[in-house]
Amino acid sequence: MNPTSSKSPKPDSQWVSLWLDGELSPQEEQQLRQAMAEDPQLAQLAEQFRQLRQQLRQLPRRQLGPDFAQEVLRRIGSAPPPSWQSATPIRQTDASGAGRVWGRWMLWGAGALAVAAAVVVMFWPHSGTHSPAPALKVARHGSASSSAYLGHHEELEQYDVGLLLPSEDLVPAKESGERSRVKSKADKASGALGGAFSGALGGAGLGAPTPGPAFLATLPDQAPIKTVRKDALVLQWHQLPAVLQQELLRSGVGSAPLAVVQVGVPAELWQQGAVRSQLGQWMLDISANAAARRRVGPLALRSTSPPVPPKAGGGALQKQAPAAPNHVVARVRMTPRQLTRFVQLLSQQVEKGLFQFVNRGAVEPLARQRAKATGVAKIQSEAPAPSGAFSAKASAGSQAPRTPTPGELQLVLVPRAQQNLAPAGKAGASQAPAPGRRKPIRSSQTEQLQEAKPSVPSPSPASGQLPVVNYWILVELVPPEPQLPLVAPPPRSAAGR
Amino acid sequence: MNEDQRWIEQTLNGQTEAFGNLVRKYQQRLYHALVCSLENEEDARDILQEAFLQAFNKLDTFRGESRFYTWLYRIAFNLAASWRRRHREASFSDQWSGSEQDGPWEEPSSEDQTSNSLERQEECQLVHQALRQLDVEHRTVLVLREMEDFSYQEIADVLHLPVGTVRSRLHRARLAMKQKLESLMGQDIRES
Repeated sequence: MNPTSSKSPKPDSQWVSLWLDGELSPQEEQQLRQAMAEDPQLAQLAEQFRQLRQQLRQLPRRQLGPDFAQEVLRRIGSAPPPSWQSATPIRQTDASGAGRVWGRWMLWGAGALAVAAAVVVMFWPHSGTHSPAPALKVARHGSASSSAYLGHHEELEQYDVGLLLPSEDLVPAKESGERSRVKSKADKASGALGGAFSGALGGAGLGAPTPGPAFLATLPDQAPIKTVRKDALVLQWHQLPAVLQQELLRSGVGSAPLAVVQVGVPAELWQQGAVRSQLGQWMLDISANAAARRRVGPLALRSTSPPVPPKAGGGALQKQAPAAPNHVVARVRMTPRQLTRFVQLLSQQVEKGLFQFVNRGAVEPLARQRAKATGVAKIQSEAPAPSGAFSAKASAGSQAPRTPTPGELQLVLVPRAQQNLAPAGKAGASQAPAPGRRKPIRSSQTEQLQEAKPSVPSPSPASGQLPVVNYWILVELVPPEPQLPLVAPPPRSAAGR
Repeated sequence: MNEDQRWIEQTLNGQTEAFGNLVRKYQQRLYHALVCSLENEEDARDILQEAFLQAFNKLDTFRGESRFYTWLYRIAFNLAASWRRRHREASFSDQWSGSEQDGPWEEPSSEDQTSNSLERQEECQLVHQALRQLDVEHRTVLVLREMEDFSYQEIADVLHLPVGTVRSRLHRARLAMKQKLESLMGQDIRES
């Protein structure tokens, strides 16, 4: 095909495109070659375009499941026949009265079967106890699936989510006094990564010193870990406020990897309600969206906290203004990819100045037994159940933990006084940024933030004023849909032409 | 008569299984193109399935004037365009959850696992990121030409555009892609 009038009469950059696509005539090609010999930029552009083509053609391809064609054929079989098929003699001979009645019953039968199948699928995950997320299997079964698990964490790293170390497991006791010491950023991030991975790989790293970068190089068959972000903030367990520790221990830190996203909301904004509503709505959006897309199962949101004894005549969402809480805990299930996207979008809000990122981290699962034996017992004995300014529809008089219904979001607002009750919360709410600090905090500033911790005074309950409401989003990481095997790009012989 | 035509005729004669051969032949290729165009594997899969269903229902209208794959791609492209219209006003949740598996892209398993693979993986991610940042129009035309190896005329048929428009759009798409890549690579270097 010859270029038409839309092409410039003299060789220019568009000619390069046409040449690359074999759309120039021999004479035009000759002209272009001469032009490229005289103009290095034109020659460079040709090389860049060629390289771009190569890069695009080398993009790896994901493979559909082997049953895709069968799925299509099944859908074809269950759909009404197309016009060209219904006009065939075969269909016409089947159109007797008996055939129509039988066909109708067949349809009803097929419909009933489909409904039954749907019910089984819907309720199966809820029967019996909650099974651990498949990601845990990685931890239990060693390196067989470790690459997928590591891949998840690599994604987290790329998106700047730091790792929160359960230091009691990963740091030897003799180093306990140094846990809060801020190491160099590189050591901190890479060490955390290695420690988390060692926990993932069958618990090999439990009780061992936190491995450093050298450990990363020895990991077998893992997804490549090339970049360890230097600005990831690593939190230690004891740095968490007690309310969060309690939530983690209570609600499944031993059953699935958890990421923690902490967002600081200026108290005055929080009390205006709009931000609160927005965060809540986002959580609900996540739930609805995740369920609709069948990615993380129907139970996307879970309650985190013991129910709050309702006030007399109490029901849903009682507010005791104007006390703003120190901590709000929401829990949601996401895949790592969803989490990273979520953090990205939160970051956009941070840049707008609506929120402050106080901290971000991921906590590696503790052994459930360990949590039961130590943490839970300890905390339950020393920390009374929080009573919040808000409670979500707790049934009157009931003290038993309430099971949330699928898709329900429960926010537990913990009053300021709670922060002083728990034993392990040495840092308490001290991670809150300085009072009145409204400037967006970006991830690169995390160390500065950490250093600023001691200067943040805990507001007194009597003061009635809080600089920041800490919105803790506990993200239970669930694996994405099974990764399908990858295949190399087909040869460029244009198969199927 | 090529095998596509034979399978089409068999399907039209009531042998639905023959259509399965067409599905198996083209599913992977079309899926890859849709994933690159839509940036969402699950949506790409849904649209792919719907495209095959529509192709089956309209099979009697395929006259063999173009390749079956081009015809099939046109159906899929129209479905994808409808999907984009529906999702133009994406909610917050749509934005964040729409790319569950859209990256990082992994290396083909057949590739070497040496340190080169790390760089190649990173390069693939950057290429994919740049592709994602392109306008849909540019992205689509790039996918059709560079990854699907469609001719200008075929692209024009699929997109219902004059060939001249395809030509200029493709060139602009390449320039835009080049700029995006340079920007991303510069950013990557600065960060490292």
